[in-house]
Amino acid sequence: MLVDWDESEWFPILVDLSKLMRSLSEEKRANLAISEILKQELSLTDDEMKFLQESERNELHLPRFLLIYDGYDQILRTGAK
Amino acid sequence: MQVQQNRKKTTKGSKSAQSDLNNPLSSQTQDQSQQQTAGNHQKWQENQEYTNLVVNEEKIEEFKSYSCSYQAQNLSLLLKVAEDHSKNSNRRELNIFCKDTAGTAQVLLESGKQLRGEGGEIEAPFAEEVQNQHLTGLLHKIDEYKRRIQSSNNFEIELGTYITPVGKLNRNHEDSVREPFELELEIKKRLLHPDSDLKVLLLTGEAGVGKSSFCK
Repeated sequence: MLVDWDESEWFPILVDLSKLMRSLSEEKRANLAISEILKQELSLTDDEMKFLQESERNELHLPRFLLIYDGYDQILRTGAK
Repeated sequence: MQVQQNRKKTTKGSKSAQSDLNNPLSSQTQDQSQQQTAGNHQKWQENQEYTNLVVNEEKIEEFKSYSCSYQAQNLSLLLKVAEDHSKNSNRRELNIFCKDTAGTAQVLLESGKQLRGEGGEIEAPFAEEVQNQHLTGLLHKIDEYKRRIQSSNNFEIELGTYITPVGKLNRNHEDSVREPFELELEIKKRLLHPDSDLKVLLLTGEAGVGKSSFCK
C-alpha cells in the first residue's frame, strides 16, 4: 500500500494514542484536539494551523492530512483500570 | 636704429590695442561672457531647485516607507516626517499645523493616503509574502516528518512478516454483502477516493490481528 501511495493527494500521520496521552498533561488529555496532534507530530505553530484552516487546499497544492489513530483500545483498557 | 625700431613696435602694439577696443566683435564677446555668467547663475539656481525637488522626492519615499508599517501607530514619527515634507515640498501644501491631536492625526492619515495611493497596494504583497513563508514552513515540516518515519527501522522488520489483511463490513452496515474483501483496496475505494464523501473509518478487530501493522 505504501509503495503506490499517492503522496500528492494524501499525507498520512500515524498517531499512537497511548504514547500521545502519556506525553500530555491531564488538562490537554481531556480536551484533545487535532491541533494538539499536529503540534506534537508535525511541530506546527498556531499561525501555520490558522493558515491551513483559512486557505483553500487547491490553491496551496498541499496533500490532505490522513490522521490514523492507533491504540485506542489500549487507552480504554488503561482508563478502565 | 634700435631705438627707432622699438618705437615702431610700440606704436604697432598701441594700434592693435585700439583696434581691439574699436572691434565690435570683441565687445560682443565680453557681453556674452557677462550674459553667460548670469545664465550660469540662473542655471545654478535652477539646479538648486531641482536638487530641492529631488530631496522632496526622497522625503516622500521616506514617508512612504514609514507609512508601510501600518498607518499612524507611531504618531510622533509621522508628524516629524510630515513636517519635513511640508518644509521642503514646493508641490503639495498641507496644513499640518493643527493644534488638536485628532485633527493632526486626520491630516497625517490623509497625507499618507495621498502619498501611497489610498493604501492596500502595499499590504497585498506583504500578505502574500507571509503566506509563502507559512507554505514553505509547512512543506519543510512535512518533509521532516516523512524522513523521520522512513528512518525508523522497526517498520522494515515488521514488513518482513507482514500479511495483507482482509476485512468485513460491520454487521450494522446497510450493505447486505458481507463477503471478506481485501482491506487495502476497499479503503482506497471507499475512503481515499477523490469522489468519496466518507470522512472517518473505524477499523476494529481482536488484539493481535494486525490492525496497527496495517495502519503503519
